[in-house]
Amino acid sequence: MSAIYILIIISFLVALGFLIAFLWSIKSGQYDDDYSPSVRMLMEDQIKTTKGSKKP
Amino acid sequence: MSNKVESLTECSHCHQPFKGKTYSDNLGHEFCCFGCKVVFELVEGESESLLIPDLDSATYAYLDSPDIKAKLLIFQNGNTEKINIHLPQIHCSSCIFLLENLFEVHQGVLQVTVHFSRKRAEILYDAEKIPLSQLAALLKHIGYPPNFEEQRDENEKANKKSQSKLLFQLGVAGFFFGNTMLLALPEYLQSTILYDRGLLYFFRYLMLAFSFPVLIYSAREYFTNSIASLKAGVLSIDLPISIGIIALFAQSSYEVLSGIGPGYFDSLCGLVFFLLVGKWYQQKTYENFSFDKDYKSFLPLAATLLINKDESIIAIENLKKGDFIIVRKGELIPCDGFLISDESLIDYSYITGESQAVSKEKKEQIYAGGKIESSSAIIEVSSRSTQSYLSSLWSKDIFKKEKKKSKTFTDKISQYFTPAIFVLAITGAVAWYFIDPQKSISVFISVLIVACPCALALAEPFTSGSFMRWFGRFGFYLKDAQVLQKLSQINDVIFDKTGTLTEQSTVKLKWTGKAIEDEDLNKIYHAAQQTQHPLARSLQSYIQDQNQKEIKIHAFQESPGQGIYFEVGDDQFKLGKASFMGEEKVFNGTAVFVSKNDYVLGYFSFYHQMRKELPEVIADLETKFKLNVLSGDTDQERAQLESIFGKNTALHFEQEPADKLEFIENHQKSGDSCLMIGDGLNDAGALKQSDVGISLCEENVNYFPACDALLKAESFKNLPSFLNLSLKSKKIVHRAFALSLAYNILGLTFALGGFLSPLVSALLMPISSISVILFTTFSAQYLSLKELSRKAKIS
Repeated sequence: MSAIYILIIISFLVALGFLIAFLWSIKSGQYDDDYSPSVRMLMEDQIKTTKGSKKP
Repeated sequence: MSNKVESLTECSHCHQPFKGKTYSDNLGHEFCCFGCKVVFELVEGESESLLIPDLDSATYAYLDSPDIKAKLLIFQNGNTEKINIHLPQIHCSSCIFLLENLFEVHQGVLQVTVHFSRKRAEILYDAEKIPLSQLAALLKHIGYPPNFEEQRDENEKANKKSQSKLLFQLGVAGFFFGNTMLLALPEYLQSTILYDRGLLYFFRYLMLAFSFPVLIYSAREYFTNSIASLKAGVLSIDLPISIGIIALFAQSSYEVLSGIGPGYFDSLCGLVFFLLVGKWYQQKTYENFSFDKDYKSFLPLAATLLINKDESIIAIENLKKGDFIIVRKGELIPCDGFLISDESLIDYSYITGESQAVSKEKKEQIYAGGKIESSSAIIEVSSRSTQSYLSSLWSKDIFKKEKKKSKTFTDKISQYFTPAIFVLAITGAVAWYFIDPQKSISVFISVLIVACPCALALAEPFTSGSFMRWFGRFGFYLKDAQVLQKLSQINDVIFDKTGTLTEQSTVKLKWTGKAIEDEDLNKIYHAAQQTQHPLARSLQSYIQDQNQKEIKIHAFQESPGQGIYFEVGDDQFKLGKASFMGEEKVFNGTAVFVSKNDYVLGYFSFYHQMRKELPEVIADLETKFKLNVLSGDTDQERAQLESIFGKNTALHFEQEPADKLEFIENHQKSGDSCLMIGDGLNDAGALKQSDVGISLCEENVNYFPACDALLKAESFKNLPSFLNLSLKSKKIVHRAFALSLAYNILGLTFALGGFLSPLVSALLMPISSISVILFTTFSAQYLSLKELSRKAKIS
C-alpha cells in the first residue's frame, strides 16, 4: 500500500510538468494568433520563381 | 474607381467572395489579392507575378528619415532592422503565404511573421538592401499598403498582459481543481472501500496544500476587488464570493487539521475555476479593431517641407505656422492651412463620411484629414497639427473622461444579496444555538459557503459573451460586455445622414430641365472624359448606360472651379456651375448645369443613394424608439428623408460636429439613453457622448472614429434585430438569475437544516454552475440564430 504514496507524488510531479508547459506556452504567445500557424505548416519550404533561382 | 459598378466576385483561388479591386491574370481568373494570384500560379506551375519591377518609393521617402524611423522600428542593429507594421489588407491564407515568403521576392527581407487576427506583420530586413521606404513600396505593390499611422498601441499591450494573466490563473485553478477532485473522490466512497487511515490523512493534507495556490494566486482578484469596492462603499458581487471562498477555506482547514473530516477543498477549487472561466469567456475582444483612437492615428507621420524649392521631410509635430508643405496625390493633409497652389480636389470622406471630393481654390482654407485627389498641392500651414480643426474635435472634455460605467444587473442584485446572506446566516446560527449549540457555528459557516453566488456571477458573463460572439458573426462588433447592457436600455436612436443613411460609394444623378437628346448626352460623356473633376466622373458613369459613339470634341477648355467649355461641330457646350453659364443659382445642392449655344438646357443634380434596406429598418425601429436624424448637409434631401422616416422623426440639417454633441447631451439630460450611429470623424464627439456610439463602416475598416461598437455596412439591415436581441439578453440574464437563486435556496435549506456535507456541496456547486452556463449559451445561440438567420433568408 505504501507504494501509492510514492506513485501519487510522482504522478503529481508529472502533471505539474504539464501545467508548467501550459503556462510556458501562454507566455510564449501560442494563444495570441490561432490562425496563422495552421496555414504556416502547410507552406512549402521553397517556392519557384521564373528566375529559376535555386536556393541552396 | 469609386464609380465602378461594384459586385461580388468569387476569388478563383480561395473562393471567398470579395468586392472592389481585383487581380486578374491573362486566362480570365480573378483573385481577391495578390497572394491568391501568386499561390494559384505556383500551383499551376511557376509564378511570373513574383518578378517585381523597380518600384518608385518616393511617396514613402519620409520613412527613411531617422526621426521617423526611430518611432517605428522595434529593433535596430547595424543594418538589420525590425518593424511591426499594420497591414489592413491581410484577409486570407494566401496573404500569410505571400508575406511570409517575401524573402523569396526580395533578398533584403530576412524574415516575416504574420499575426493574422491583429493584421500585423513583423518584418526583419536588411536596410542596406531594402530601405524602409522601398519595403513599404514593395508591400504596397503586392497589395498590402502599410498603415503607419496606427502604430504601437499602449492599450493593446496592457490588454494582452491582463489576458495572459487571466489564462495563467485559469490554468493554475484548473490544474489544482482536477487534482483535488481526484483526491476527494475516495472520501465519498469511504463506506464502500476499505480505507487506510494513513492514506486518508495524506490525501487530506495534499488537498489542503493544493488549495493554497488557488486561494492565493487564482482567486486573488476577488479579494482585492471586494476590498476596493468596500472602500468605495459599494457591495459588489465579488464580496459574497470572497466571503464564500474564505468560509470554505477556513472550515475545510479546520476540519482537516482537527481530523474531523475532509473539508470542501474540491468545491473551493471548482468554484474559483468556474468563476475564472466566466471571466475569460466574457473577455472576447476584436484585436484587429482598436476602438479607442485619437486624432493622431488619422494623420500622417511626416510631411514634405518646402523651403526655397528644397524639399525635406519633417515630422508633423515639428510643423510651424507659416511653413510651406507639399501634399501629393493620395496623401493626407497633416494640418490646417491655406492652399497656395491652384485648384485642388480634396476628399474629406474620413472626416465627414462624404465620399464626393470637394474642390478648393487658391487661398481657400483647408482642414487636416483631407486627402488630396488631384495632383500635388502646396499648403501654407496656419496652425500646428495639434491645434487643427480635426484635433479640436478630440480635445473636447468629453474625450478626457471615461464613459461612466452603468451598474450591471449583477451589481444591483448583489447589493441586496450580501446583507440577506448575513441575516440568514446569523438567524440560522441563533436558531441552532437553542437546538444544538455545538452545531451553531457550522451552520453559520455552511450558509456562507452554500450561498456563494458562483452561478449568479456566471450568468451575466456567459450571456453577454455568447451574444457578443453571435453579433460578431453577423458583422456587429462590440467593444466590451458593458456595451451590450447599455444597448438594452436605449430609447433614442440618432442617425448621422451622409454615409450612414446613404451609401458611401454611390452617387445618384437626376436630370432636371428640358428633355435632353441622346446625341447631346453622348457629347457630354466624351467631354467629361477629358477632365479629372470627380463630378465629371460620376456624370460619365451615369451616361455610360445610355449609348456611346465616337465623337470629335474640339476647342476643349477647362476653367478650374467653374466648368468646361467645348465644341462639337457647330454647337457650343458649357458644363459646370450655374454662374459659369451666367445663370442665377437655382439649385440648393450639388449640380452640374448644361448649356448649348448659350441656352441653358437644365442641370444634373447629384444626390446620395439611400441604403436600400433603410425603409425596412426605419419601419421596424420607428415603433420602438424615438428617431432623430442629424445631418451636416443642407436640407436638399429633406423630402426624400421625410418619405422614409415619416412625420414623427426630427430631422436636423446643417449640424456642425459640436451641434451634434450638444444635441445628444440635451437628450441625455432629459433622461434619455441615446444610441448614435455615425461614420465620419465629424461624428466622433457625438459617438463618444452618446450612451452607445456605433460606427458604421464599409469594407475599409481602418478609418472609423472612436466608438463603442462597429457595424459593418452590409449588416445595417440587422440593426433592429441586434437591438431586439440586446433586450432579450437582459431577459436571459434574469432567468439565469432565477435558476441560480433556486439552486442557492436549495443549498440554503441543506445548510440551515444542518445537513450540508462536503458531498452535497461538491455536487451542488458544479451542477448549478454548469446548468447556468449551458442555459445562457444555448438560449443566446437559439435566439440569435432565430432572429438573424431569418432576416438573412428574406433578404
